[in-house]
Amino acid sequence: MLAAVTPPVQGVQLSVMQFMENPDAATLRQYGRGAAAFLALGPHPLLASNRDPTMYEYGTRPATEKEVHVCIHSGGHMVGPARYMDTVAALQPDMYVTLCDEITADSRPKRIATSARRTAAWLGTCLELAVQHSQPQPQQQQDAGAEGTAAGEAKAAAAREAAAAAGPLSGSLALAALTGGALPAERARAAKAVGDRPGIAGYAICGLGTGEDPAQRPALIAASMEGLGLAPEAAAGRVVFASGVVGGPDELLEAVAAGVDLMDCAYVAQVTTGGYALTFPLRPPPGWQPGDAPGAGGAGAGADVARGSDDTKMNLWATAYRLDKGPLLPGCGCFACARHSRAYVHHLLNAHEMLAEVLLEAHNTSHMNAFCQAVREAIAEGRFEQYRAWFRSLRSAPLVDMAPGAAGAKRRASGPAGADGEAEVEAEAGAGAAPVDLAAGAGAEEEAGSFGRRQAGRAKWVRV
Amino acid sequence: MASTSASALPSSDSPALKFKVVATQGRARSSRMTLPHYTAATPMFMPVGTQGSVKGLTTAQLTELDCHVILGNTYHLENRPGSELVAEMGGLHGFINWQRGMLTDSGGFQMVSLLHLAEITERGVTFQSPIDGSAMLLTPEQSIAIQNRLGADIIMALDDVVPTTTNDPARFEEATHRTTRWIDRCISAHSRPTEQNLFAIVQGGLDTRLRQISIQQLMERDLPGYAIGGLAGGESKDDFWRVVAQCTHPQTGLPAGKPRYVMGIGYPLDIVVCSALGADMFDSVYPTRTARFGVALVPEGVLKLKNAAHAKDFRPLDATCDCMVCKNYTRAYLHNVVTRGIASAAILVTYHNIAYTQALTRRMRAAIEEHRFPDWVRDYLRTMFPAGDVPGWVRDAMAEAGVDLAGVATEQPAAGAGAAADTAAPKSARAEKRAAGRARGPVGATET
Repeated sequence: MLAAVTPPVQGVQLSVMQFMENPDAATLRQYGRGAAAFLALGPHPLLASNRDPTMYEYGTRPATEKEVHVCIHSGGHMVGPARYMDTVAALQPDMYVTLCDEITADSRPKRIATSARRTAAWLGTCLELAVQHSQPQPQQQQDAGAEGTAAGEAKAAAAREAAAAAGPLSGSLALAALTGGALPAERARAAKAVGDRPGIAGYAICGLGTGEDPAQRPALIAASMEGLGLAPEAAAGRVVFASGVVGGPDELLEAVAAGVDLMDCAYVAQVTTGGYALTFPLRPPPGWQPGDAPGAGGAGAGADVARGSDDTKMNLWATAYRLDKGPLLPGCGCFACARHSRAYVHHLLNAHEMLAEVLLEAHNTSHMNAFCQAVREAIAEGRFEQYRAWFRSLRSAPLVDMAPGAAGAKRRASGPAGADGEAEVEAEAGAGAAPVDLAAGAGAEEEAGSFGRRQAGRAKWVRV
Repeated sequence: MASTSASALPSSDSPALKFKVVATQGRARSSRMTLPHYTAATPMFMPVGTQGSVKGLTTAQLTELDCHVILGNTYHLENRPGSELVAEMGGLHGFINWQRGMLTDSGGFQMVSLLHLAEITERGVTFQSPIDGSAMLLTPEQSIAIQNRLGADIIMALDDVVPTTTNDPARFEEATHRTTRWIDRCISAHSRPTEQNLFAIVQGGLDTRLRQISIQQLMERDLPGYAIGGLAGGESKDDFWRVVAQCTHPQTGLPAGKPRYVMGIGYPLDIVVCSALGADMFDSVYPTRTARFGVALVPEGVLKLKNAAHAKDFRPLDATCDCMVCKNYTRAYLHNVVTRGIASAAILVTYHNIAYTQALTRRMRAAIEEHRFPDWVRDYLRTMFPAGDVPGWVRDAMAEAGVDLAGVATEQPAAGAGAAADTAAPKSARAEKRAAGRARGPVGATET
């Protein structure tokens, strides 16, 4: 079903922590071909992060100087840099986040400082271990890998040769974890301690989506990125990933505005579970200018309280859809909308059939993907701010204040849409067979200036 | 003996169904059944989509899996969303977007499965809904009216179904005759005979006399097809195959030129045996339900994926299967997701299990058409029972079907199996089962 998502999936995210057990690193190593093959995720780039967006693995027990505590499907595990990188290596991802002492937004300064110190120390250890895992490995027990068909054996032989030629993490990009809670000053300090160093291909902004005010987020992201103190040319070449920042399309857009390139997203899974289909419009009407009426240019169903819909999503449980032969969202070409009706999905929900969630997730993933594609196009065509202004105009009050005079002095620029663009897709906690969610893209050229000039506006927002 | 000249092969031409046997070998036959929406090939297994979906799979996937006919259930669909709504949506085909063959069961089986909620009289069956407790009276007329609205290619008569484990001969007698009276009411009520095929269902429990009465009486109604009902309810395998054999008997059984549908059969071994005896169509929730318990169908029997033995097994489920799941996933991965109760795991195993049953019936049809069916059966049984311990009922049934199991089934179990108590000191039943299990190795056999 992953292959059925349109526009196509750009990348997949999974959490390293979910692979502490069943399967664990030893099992994956024995398999030999990494998570992308084990989970049959397809040819998409794989990002192994330290956190699953649908469940918060941290906080059950305190972390120590040596390790964090994570609570996953099988129970609790203590994970230090060695065990973490061991698992990362077994997953063989294209990108990975280094170990972070994850804290929530309500952490006090002392705890934040500890987190920054540990995370920076662990970064060093992780990078050293990454070098080791990139070295050619001695022939391990890979004879158990992928037997069966002749094609499988040929693949296994190729994998063995490849492994012998280079280690499992050879070519993998390290994203340095940036912590700092909800205090911009601490974020800047933590970022400075990380800075730029060999072996880092980008940064992961950790600790967001843990209870902070969404209006605060741009300032926190800016503090992290500017605190790194990178020269513009260096900054332009670094990928920025953030977890937990997509509670909805507005938040995704604000994160993109703040300079984030890759995001994972629990939003699709959450709305799917609730029986919703995403319907928010994807494009402004042609020639739309700030100050015009919002007027959805792209497909959008509009709010209808009688049907349990708001202007972002529709509720397929509503009895109003019992006899509705139309697709979930007219104009959407996704797998579900091309084949099935609202009435059918409504019936499936009532009958508690699994297929309801399969179809809704296919649609919702496709819709978020299409959204990201529209955002990438806007960036590539130099009209991102206008796009953003239009999207914000759909709300009665915006999520985040736009600071006056802040032009898009970001890492957004002209570049072919989606050229380097990768987008994140969420994989279900380790399982990967569930469909995925996609978020923004286009890490592009740096314009004059630093990452993002965003002044921390006062929180003045109302969620619609 | 196999009869291959085209003019001698049985066939029938009904208003909405053409049935044509294209090859026979012994009692087994490979046929084509042209329905309003699709031409199906038999022997055929039909997955069950009770509430308008085969659990977790999209109709696109069912087409990928080469399903020819799927089932919907009258009772459940009338409960929700309601047959009138389905009719407005273009019938079940339009509502769920399935282009091939559809069959609806009459609600008769619910008399057994929901017996504690049902009251059966001559008029019909009153059900108490398991959802909201409301009463639904299902008469033959009502059942047919609902099925007419659902619009399936094949609709089933409402029969009086008695669980085979019932110890009440009078009840079976009553049910046999009532089933005949109800078929007449079904025929009268059927408003779309040129678009939908009404199949009658032979009843009679395990009583050969009653079964013969039922066969004769239903044949007099000259319906497009016939089903063998009232089985798959806990009777012994020995009783089960004999009823099927009686109903498919070349001389005294159901007409050879019409499809014969054994209801509720889904264990692969049962499908093979019934096909050898001359049955054409099967349905069961077994492949899809057992998938949701983490059990995969394989040529050797079943794989219980929750078992820790599979945690590091990087082979596909079935090396002989070329379905999407076997091409992309390992037993180890499926073990992981099955043990964690992730819903998509159920979908993956479901997908494979249906692929397995479709491949099974495809290979049977090819074997019959290429006149190597007995060899195929022998290979199949050898793979499933490498120690030669083919169950007695299978041996008896194959003998009746004219398939020689010499070299496949040993009279005494192979040394080490210890399943028979003859040569060794008497063992407890559990010890015998353990020994048989050890002989079979880590793959569990299909339970019969």
